[in-house]
Amino acid sequence: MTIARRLAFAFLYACGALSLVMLVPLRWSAIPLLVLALLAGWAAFHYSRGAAVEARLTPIDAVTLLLIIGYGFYTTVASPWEWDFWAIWGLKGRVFYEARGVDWAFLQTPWNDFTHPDYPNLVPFHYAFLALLGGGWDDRWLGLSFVAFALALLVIVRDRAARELPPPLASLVALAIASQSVTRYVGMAEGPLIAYGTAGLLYARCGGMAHAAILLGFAACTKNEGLTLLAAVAIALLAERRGRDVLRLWPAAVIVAPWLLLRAVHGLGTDLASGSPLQRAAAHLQETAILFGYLADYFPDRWLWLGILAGIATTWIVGRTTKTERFLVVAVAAQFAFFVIAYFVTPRDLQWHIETSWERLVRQLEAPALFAALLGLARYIAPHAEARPQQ
Amino acid sequence: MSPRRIAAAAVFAILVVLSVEKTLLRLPFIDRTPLRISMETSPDRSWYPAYPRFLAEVRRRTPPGARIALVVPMPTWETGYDYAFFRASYFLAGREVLPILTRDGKPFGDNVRNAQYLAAWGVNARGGRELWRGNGGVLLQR
Repeated sequence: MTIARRLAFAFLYACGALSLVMLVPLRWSAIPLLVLALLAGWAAFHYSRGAAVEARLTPIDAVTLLLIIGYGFYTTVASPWEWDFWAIWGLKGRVFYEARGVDWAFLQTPWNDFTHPDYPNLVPFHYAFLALLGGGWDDRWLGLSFVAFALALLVIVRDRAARELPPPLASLVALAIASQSVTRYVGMAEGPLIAYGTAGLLYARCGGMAHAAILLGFAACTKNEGLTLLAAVAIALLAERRGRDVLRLWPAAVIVAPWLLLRAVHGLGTDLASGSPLQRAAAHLQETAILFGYLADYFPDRWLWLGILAGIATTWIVGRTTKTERFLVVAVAAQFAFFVIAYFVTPRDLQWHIETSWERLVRQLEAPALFAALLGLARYIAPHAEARPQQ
Repeated sequence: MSPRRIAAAAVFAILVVLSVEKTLLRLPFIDRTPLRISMETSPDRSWYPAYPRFLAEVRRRTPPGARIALVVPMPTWETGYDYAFFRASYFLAGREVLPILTRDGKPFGDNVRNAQYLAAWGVNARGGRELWRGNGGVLLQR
C-alpha cells in the first residue's frame, strides 16, 4: 500500500510540476520535459514515504479494481466526446502542442473567447506533453489519463482510510469513493480536479499540510474551482481554530501565482469578474427563488446526497463526529457557497449557466463529502477506530 | 450490538450501495459496440461522419499557420455556427480559423478578405481556386 501511495504521489506531482515548467516561455521539447517529469515524480516518491500502514487487502478491493477496469473500458471506448474537451481543454492542448508553448495570440483573439482563455492549463499541458512524447496529436487514448488520475486518488483514499479503520471498512470506503473518483466527463478537467482537490482535502483534514498545500495548489492550476477550494479549505481550517495551518498553505499560493500573474499580464479576464459583478449580484438577488429553483431542478445524484446528509446527521446525533469530519463538512459547504455566489454574479443567462455546469460542480464534491459521512459512521460501527494524525 | 450501531451500520451500507456505479462493474463483460458508436457520433450528431472527415482533409491540405475562413449553412452562432466553428478550431489547431459571422450574426467581411483559404461545407461557395472537394465540402484557395 505504501508503495502504491508513493506512486500515486509521484504521478500527481509529476503532472503538476509539468504544468509549472510548461509555463516557462521556452520552446517545449519532449526529452527535457520528460526528464523534469521523472525528476519531480522521483522526488515525490522519495519524500512521500510517511509512516507505513498495515493495509491488508480484502476481497472488496477486487470489486473496486473491477470498477476501475470498467472505467478504463468507458474512457477508452472512443476519443473523448465531451463538447468541453474539443472546445476547451483538448483544443487548447492541441493548439499549445502545435505552438510548442502557450499560444498567447490564440488565447487573446476575440473570437477564441469560447475556449475560456482564463482557465488554468494543467490539463491542456498534460495533453500537449503526451502529444510531444507520442510524436503527434492523437486523442484516441487520452481517456487513459483519467483512469490514472482516478486510480491515484483511490490509492490515497484507501491509504487514508486504512490508517483509521479496520481493513474491511477501509475497503468499503474505497469502493464507495471509487465511483466518485471516476468522472463521467472524460476529457474535461473534472477528473484531475477531483483527484488533486480531494487528496488535498484529505491531507488537510488530518494535518498533513505540506502535501495538502501542494495538492491544493495543483487543484488551483487545474480549474478555477480549485482556487475557491483553496479559500474553502482556509475557511474550514479557521472554523476548526487551525489558523497556523492556514499559513502553512503558502506553497499552494506559490504554485498558482505564476499562472495568475501571466493571466493578468496578458489581459485574460474571467467572465465572472467582467463588467459589474455587484450590479449583477444585486439583480440576481431579486431572483433568488428562481435561482435556487434552478439549482434544485438540476441537482444530480439526489439519493446519494440524501444518504450523505443522513450519514453526517447520524454521526452528529450519535455524537461520534470528530473534528476531522467537521473540517471536511465545512470545507465542502464553503465550496458550495462559492459555487452559488458564482451564479449570483454570472453575466450569462442564469438557467443556461446552471443547466450546463451545476451538475459537474456538485459531483466535484461527492468524494470528500462521502468520505466524511462514511468515516464518521465507520468510527461508530468500529468504536476502537480513531482518527490518527497523518504521519 | 446497540440499536444506534445497527442504525449507523445500515446507513453506512446504504451509502456504499448508493455510491457504487453498477454500470462500470458490468462494462467489461458486455458488448460495448453501441456505446462506442454513441460516443463516436455524439460530438457531430447529424453532421457525422462527413463534417469531421471534411475538416481532417482540410487540415491535411493546408500548411500550419494558414488562415482559413469557415463557411457553413448556419446563419447565426446560436443555430449551429458555434458548433461548426469550435469543431473546426479543434481539427485545424495550428492554423488560424476565422469566423465569417460576428457574434450578433452579421457578416465578418475582414475575415473573409484576410483568409488564405475558404473551407466551405454544405454550401455552394465561390471566391477562390478549388483545391479539393469531398465529404460535402470544398476547400478554396484565395
